[in-house]
Amino acid sequence: MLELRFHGFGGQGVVTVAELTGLAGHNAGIWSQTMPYFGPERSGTPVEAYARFSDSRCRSRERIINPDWLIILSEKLLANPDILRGIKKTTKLLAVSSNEPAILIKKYPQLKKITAGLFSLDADIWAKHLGNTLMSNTVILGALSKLTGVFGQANAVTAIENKLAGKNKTIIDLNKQAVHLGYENIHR
Amino acid sequence: MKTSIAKTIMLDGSRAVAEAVRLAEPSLVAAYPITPQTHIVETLSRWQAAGQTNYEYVRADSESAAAAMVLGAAAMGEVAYTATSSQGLLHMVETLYNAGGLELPFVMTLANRSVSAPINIWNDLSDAMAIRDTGLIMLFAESNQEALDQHIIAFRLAKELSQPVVVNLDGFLLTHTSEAVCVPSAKLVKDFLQVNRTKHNQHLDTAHPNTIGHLFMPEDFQSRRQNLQRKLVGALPIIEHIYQDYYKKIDTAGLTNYTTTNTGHLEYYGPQHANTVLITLGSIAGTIKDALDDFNKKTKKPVALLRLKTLRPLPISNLQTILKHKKYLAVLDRALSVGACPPLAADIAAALNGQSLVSLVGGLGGKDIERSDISTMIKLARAGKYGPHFI
Repeated sequence: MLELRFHGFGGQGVVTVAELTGLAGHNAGIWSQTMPYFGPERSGTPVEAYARFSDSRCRSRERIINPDWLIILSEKLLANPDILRGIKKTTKLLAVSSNEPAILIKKYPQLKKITAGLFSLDADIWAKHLGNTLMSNTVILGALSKLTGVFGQANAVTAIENKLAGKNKTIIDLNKQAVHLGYENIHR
Repeated sequence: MKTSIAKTIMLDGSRAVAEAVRLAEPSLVAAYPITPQTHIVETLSRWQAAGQTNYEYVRADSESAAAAMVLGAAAMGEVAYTATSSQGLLHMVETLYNAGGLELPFVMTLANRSVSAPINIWNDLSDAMAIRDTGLIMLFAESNQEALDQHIIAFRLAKELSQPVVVNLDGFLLTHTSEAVCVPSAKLVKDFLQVNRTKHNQHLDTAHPNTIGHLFMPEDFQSRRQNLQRKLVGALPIIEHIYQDYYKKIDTAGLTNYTTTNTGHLEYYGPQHANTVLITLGSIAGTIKDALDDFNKKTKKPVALLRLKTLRPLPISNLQTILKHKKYLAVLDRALSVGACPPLAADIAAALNGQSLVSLVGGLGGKDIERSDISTMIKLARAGKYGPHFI
């Protein structure tokens, strides 16, 4: 069982990126489950989402308490102690930020508690580079295809095709490029 | 048989339900959107607008109107569907009593959510417990797969029994959770649903004008209600037969492990000799199963789970047979009957003829029940003090 917990704000696509990892995991032949936890129903409030991957059906429906991975979609959240609740010695963290992990630790001392691996990804800049900041989700998906070991880049690309079925080809192609950029541009 | 992951697709519970409804081919879908049910009717509305389906879709002006529309369609002999949650369900209650009493068949999804006040959009079973006495058949799903299966089963049940059926699935925990689901082919579902509809002399028909829902005098009313009671209790073997037929004809069975301890009425999970049993409804059973697998590895006194799939009619003799020699029973309710015994505990206690049990309450308004809470539940079950204990 591998458990991912995503933190972000409503409107950032927190739920979508979790769902995409579920699709990618499923494409890799892994039993996957993804689940949102909404605050009050409006944009800008904190949102969490969860993804579970297992060799057998994921039956538990509790929120993810002891995550193997934390994915933080906004640098602003790195100062919030709540994001680190339930972390284990083996918990790793991927933050969306233009700063390298070494700088993030200086800015947000609580990140010293993450000893197994701290990564950052400038997903918003790469998405902007492709012409649409909404695509930062698929940049993150690309990074997770490299980092988590659950699914590969090809599974992530198929997940995009599943999710965007019926959309025009240009959008799908741009999202595929976003996966690739995420895969290639992780800061350790 | 184990259904391979390759036969499944990732669907959230709302979409799984919408797929089942599409496959069942109702002639009317009438609903009013409410969280967490909205995605179901949005999907059905979108498909209809795109010309992919044959049903009429009516965005009713309230849940009360939606319930009246499906009741009216059923009175005309049409197959009708609606969906709601929480406060929306409460708007429907008057009509639901009528549908139950008039034996007018339709299928309803209840995406379970708490009931105000305080206002809260998250999951518990307070809404479902408000309609236990309406005469609707009530099914409860543990997973998105089972939600899909139970909806197709519900269309057959409604048709064969001429009685409305409500399928409960937990709001957010299922409606908004994506997982692998096997969607059966349209042909298999069509074959399964191909049964002669009970001839019902209550259909409204302009060629043969008649009245339904007329006044019953005191000398007739009780016997009519008594017949309804008999009908619902007598539906248990029919429900069982239809489940068996479903898993024989439709190949999602590998996912639900249909056996003698996993019937149309209930599922018993864990060692047969377990002397302690936790009893509950709905998707929390999944979390309990995982917790029990861990717990039972480390103990000589294992614990089992009994999950009811059918709450109305209540499978009393099944419950008695399975639970008769169990030493410690605990019933987990996710609803209250304020000021009295919680509803599921009251049902089970009455069914078991004085066998003692412990009442637990948890998960109200979306409060998370974690795997670690299950060991607390086991301790309370074995301590034997009635409660209710709030988890």
